[in-house]
Amino acid sequence: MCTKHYCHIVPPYILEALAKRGNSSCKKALNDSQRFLERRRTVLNNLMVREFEDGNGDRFIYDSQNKNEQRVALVRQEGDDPTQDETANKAYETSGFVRDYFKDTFGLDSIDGNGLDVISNIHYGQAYNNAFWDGDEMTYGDGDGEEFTNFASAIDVVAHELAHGVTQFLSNLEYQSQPGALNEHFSDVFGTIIKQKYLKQNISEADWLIGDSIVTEAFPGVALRSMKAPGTANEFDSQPDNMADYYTGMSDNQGVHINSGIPNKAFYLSCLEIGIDDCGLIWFETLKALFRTADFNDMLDTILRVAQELTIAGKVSDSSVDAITHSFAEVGLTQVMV
Amino acid sequence: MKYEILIEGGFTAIPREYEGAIEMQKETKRMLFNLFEKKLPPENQNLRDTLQYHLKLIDGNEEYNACFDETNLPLPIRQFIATVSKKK
Ligand SMILES: [Zn+2]
Repeated sequence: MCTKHYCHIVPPYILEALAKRGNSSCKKALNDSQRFLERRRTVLNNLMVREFEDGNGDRFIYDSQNKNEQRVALVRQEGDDPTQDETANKAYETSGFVRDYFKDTFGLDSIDGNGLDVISNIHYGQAYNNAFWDGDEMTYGDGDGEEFTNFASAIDVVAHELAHGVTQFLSNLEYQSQPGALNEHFSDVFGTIIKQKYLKQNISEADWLIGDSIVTEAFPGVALRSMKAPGTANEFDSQPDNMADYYTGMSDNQGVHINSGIPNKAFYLSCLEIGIDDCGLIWFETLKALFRTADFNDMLDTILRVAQELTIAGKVSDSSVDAITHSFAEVGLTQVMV
Repeated sequence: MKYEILIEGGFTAIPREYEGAIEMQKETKRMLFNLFEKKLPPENQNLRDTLQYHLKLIDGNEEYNACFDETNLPLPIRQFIATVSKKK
């Protein structure tokens, strides 16, 4: 048994081995040790540190006024009436929808489980084609109007970015190689689920696309990614849908947005068999059980253990373990027996 | 001065590359080179979906390389990238 105090003096490689066997206190110690190290490094460099404070999960929308700066002008906060700026209103509404989904479905109190305020920066930069999470808040560009538009207005983009925050606090998956691809995968998973809830679609009506509403007519494709058919969303889409085509290059932090196509396809196939709500619960509990350096094999081991536990508890379909086993096998991932 | 710029990562994950030559005043070039050599603040390990900016500037026999992220990209270099990306 690994007690909390014991874990703090155990070397990280042992914590990792114990976390892989499902020891949650060792997993927490492993993830926290990295977080403390990062914060300590920041403090030592005399940089301003934004402390995470317990809050009410309130929404704050800041207008960057086309500068490359955050928190420039507060334009709407929790409970305020709508503003003249439709982007601000949309960011307010969608970030609230995402926050409420995690609260109502899984009992997660905001991004960190401790009521962290939900802060969005809109109109960031000039013609800026991106949206990102920076460790404690979200930032959205307006797009260049030629290929991309208004990132803050898309429910799947907002859910994807906010889910990066949830991942940071639940499993802190590091952002490179397979743990990074899993980090991206979980953001696409909750981006997709929440988009379907927001649009009141069932899985047969859904398009399973990510970023379809932020691309223009001139963009050479229909979206940025497809959960249903990775690699087909646009001319540049190089996502594989099977381990046989796994990307081994160094670009994009060793392919975090590329290899995420493999578990994305497994998620889609699992949803077809047991439905998106059971999958949502299984994936969320798996995210809680994963740890910073988890790879695809760890993901499969963990998700099957979690699915088994949820099945025994009567919370998901009896066929969950079989469905997930088949879906991951379809994308070339089977359990490695030691 | 010749330049090679690769912008990768980001939510869209579509890389952008810019390559070419640009005339610049000596003082402006020096200012950019100094920024390339300046020590960067420590990396924020919690950035997700941010862009990464890889730059190479070649001025005669001198070559300068640097990589920045969204939080440490100096404004003059951001403006330089904006200028050359419009040339395309
Ligand atoms: Zn992402």
